[in-house]
Amino acid sequence: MQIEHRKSGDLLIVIPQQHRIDASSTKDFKGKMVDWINEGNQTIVLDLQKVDFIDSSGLGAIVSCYKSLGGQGTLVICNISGTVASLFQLTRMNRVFRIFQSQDEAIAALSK
Amino acid sequence: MIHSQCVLASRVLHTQKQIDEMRPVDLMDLKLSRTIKFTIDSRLEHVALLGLAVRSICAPLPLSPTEVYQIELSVVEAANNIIKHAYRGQPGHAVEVIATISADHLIVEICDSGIPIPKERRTAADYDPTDVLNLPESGMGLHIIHTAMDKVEYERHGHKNILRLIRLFQ
Repeated sequence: MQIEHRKSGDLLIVIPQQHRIDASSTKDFKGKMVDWINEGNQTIVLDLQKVDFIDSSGLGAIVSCYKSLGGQGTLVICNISGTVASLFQLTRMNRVFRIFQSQDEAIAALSK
Repeated sequence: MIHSQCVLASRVLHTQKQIDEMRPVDLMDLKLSRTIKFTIDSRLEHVALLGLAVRSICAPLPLSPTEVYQIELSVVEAANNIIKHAYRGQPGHAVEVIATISADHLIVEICDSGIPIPKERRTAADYDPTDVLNLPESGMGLHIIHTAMDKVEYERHGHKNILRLIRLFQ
């Protein structure tokens, strides 16, 4: 899975380049995310602008990354489509993750 | 494909010009039997293809984009569970999907001949979304299916397991 990533101050901006985060790509996605967390990235913006499908395996990988931060940091989500947002609502994960309309909005909130 | 089937089956009742002018939703009103079956091999990398096929089947139906997503999601979750649990991750087995469209509902059956779902796992598991340390990283598939679909049934006929998902058109 191709994932674009860049630093913005202390923030790590992560933008998956594929349309789907599903059972077949979860291992790769989670591996890269955990590597970046282990490198010391504690505040992560997951930008889902190119993602139009996530299944429970993909969601589980995002949850796993969030738990990997061990309460020391945070992982927020932005640019989520209405359909993918419905997965977060179905699973009530919208109560776990802070979800922002845009990357700028997420960065502004985390930079306060 | 559904559109083509409808056109072929409708010639007795309508002229070709009338059919050409119909929207897919109009074709549904003909109340013809429309069933499509397709099969993938039990490999997780093939499930996306199955999901895209279900999305295409749903496209002309009176469903919102979110409803279509949730039906695709439910079928993908069911297929993932079959591959991971019923077939224990082994390729070379069939995951069959049968979609039947009626005037007021869609039925999607996902069939396999692997290990049946244990009774204790057939209902949706619950969890506390505020308990971060104990958030589930797996096992959410059946919860999603039960929440997203109007009705979910599970049957075993001989060696065949059938998970039946039903979505009513509002």
